[in-house]
Amino acid sequence: MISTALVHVVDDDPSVLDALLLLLRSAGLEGQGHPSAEDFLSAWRPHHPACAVLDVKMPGMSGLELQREMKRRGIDLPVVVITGHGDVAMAVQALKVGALDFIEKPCDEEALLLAVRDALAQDQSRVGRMVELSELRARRILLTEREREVMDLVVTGLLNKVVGSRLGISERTVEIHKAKVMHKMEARTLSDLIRMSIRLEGGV
Amino acid sequence: MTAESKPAKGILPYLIALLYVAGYIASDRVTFFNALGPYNITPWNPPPALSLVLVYFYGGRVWPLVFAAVFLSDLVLRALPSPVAAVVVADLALSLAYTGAGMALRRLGVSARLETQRDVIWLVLCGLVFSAVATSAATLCLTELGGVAVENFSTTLFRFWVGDAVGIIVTAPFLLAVFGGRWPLSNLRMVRLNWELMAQMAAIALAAWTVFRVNLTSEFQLLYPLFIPLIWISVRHGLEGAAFGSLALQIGLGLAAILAAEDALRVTELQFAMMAMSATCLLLGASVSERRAAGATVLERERKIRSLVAMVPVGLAEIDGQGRVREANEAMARLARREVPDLLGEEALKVLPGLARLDPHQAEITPDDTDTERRWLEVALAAMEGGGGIAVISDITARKDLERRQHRHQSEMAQLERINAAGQLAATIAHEVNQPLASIIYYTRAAQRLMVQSGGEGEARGAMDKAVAQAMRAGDIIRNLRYFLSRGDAETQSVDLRELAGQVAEFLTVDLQAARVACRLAPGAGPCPVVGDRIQLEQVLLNLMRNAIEALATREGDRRLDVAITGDGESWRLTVADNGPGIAADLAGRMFDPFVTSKRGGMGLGLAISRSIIEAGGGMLDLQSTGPDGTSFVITLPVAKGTET
Repeated sequence: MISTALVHVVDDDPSVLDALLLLLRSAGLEGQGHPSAEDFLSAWRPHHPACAVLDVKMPGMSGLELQREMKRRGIDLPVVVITGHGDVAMAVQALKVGALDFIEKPCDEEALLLAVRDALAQDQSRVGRMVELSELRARRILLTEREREVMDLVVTGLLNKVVGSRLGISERTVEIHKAKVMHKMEARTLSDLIRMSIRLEGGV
Repeated sequence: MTAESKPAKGILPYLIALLYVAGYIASDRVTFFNALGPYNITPWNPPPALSLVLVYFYGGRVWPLVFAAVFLSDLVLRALPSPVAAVVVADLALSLAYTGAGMALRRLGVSARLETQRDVIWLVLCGLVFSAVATSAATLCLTELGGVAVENFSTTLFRFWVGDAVGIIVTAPFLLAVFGGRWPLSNLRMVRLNWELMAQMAAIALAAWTVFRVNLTSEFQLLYPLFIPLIWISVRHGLEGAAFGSLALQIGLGLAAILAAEDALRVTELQFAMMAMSATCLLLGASVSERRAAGATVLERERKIRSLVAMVPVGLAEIDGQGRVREANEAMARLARREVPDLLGEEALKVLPGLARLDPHQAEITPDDTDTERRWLEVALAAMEGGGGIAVISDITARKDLERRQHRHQSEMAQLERINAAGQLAATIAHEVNQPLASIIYYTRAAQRLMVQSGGEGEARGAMDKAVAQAMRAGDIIRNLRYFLSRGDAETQSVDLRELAGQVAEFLTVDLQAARVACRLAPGAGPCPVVGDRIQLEQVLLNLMRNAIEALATREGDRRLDVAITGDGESWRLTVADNGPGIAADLAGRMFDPFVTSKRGGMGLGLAISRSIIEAGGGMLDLQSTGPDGTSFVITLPVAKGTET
């Protein structure tokens, strides 16, 4: 899935932007350049593993302001910030706002590529979890109404007998429904099913 | 104190009137001896003095009282010799004359304190003249209306006049002294009975006795001894002495005349002499008093000057014609690190600190290193008339220290500002050079990676070209900075803004044509001189006009650039206006901050440096307006005064 990951580069200096994108491509990473923060915000799509490389100093919306704006919009994307040389205060602020890492400019490409790969990996798991959740939701839709009732009670830890008496059905029928639920939800054990139920409720 | 009508309220006026009338009758009674003729005219008559002083203090409105007193006195003491009409008319004349005398003194501004000889002279003259008038009129009445024999007229008149005149001259000064505030009665306690006073009293008594004893047996008028004690008293005690001495002598003579049962005519002669003596001594006393008052004033002034000289924190010394210290104050002694007496009589150049020469001069000196503590002295020497001078020396070390501290503080501030500016510049250079450096690294690394990838050589070569272009860009930035900074030491001269605008426009001709911008100059009439560095001002104007040309590049249709100069006599306003698309709102407020630019690849330094150049010349560079209709910047610079352009 690495191959489909996208690196958003935001820098107002066109030559820096161009050089960065070329570097990323030479390292086998796919990049997308944005000359301004606003441009990036309108181009970004979720459900796609990505990261952002931001220049702190930009006319208009600065890197820090963009970070805050992303937080406000709920864009949960790993951010690597590029700061001017020796601008520690700015770097600290960027980290406080939630940047994953910061790179001093000018820097060698290794540090930059390492940070970008880290960021992509982090987002990979985020996207992975997101995909998993949508699969779980899709599986749950396949359950009948009775099966859903049985699942909701079983995951609270009630015994089959109790579940049966609650729903007015026999313990044997509960066992049959439960087996169907396990199959449809692709859960190998009861603890699998409980974990899935928690994730569905929490949306995580 | 000159006479003013004293305000009289309540019971006081009646009391004063009663006292006056009582005093009048009493004094008339006491001096009622050696009376002559049917009207009992006496050779010493103090009551007119009472009337005169009363009128002097309370004005002419008291005349009826005066008349009443005169008439009452005649009624009581002389039992109204017939005919009554003669007496009434005579009393009328007397009271009118003495009221006139009092008013004359008021009008003449004679001071109740008899402060000057002039006051005394007027008092004596008024006494003589008005008593002459009064007694003449009264005597005439008495003669005409019967009583006084015609053959006795001149004798009566003379006697009458002498009595009244001597009464006034002897008594009035005393009354004025007592009631006029010069010598209030409360001061009596201050008179100490010393040997001199007793001797003076004894001398008067002796003189009086001599006059009578000797004259009784001789035809030779021996009045002159009387002068001696009176002059003695006057010289010693001034006007007060003369007034009291005269009164004492008069009383002594009166008593002697009564005791000796002296002949009335001889007493009159005596009284005539008394009048002359009294007048003479009063003048003498007044002169002595006046001199003493003047002396006291001088002494008081000198005392004030002395305390002032002692008090001032500045060292003062008087230097005589031989260059020696005649007087010095405490402050000078402290400065010289000696006691005042140790300075007196010494050579000024040796003992007075910091004094280098004796001619008038002013200097600020710091004494040589022999001084344990280094101090600054301000020295001035002023010449005095008749040789010598006054040296004024003050320690100004504290002031000098303060000045030095202030100066040091100022230069520290200037240094700090330079460091600040240098720091800002360094940050600017770092940022501007970092951009291409970063690009160069990225391009080079990318090229290295691409070279080892199959089919990547072409792209790698492109990346290397781009890296070179970025290196060139870094070089450009350094060059640009040097261009701006090379003229760090500005050469200030008078620059004509009008000429400058023309030159810059000409310089930009090619750029203007290439960008199809119509440039219009409205530099006003006549030269517009400012003080500044020509090259720097040129850079500022060039920067503003280039910005405008670049801003106009995105505009469709006509492109205009207007440069105008206006002045109000105080300063010149140079406006650079374009009809470009305007500066983005978020940038407009920060246009003058370093790094802020709306141009791709711009340094964001031009306006910042331009503003610092203009502000260094005491002017202002501001964004006047910006919007979709255009942008205008305005430079304000003070008019260069008194310089050629």
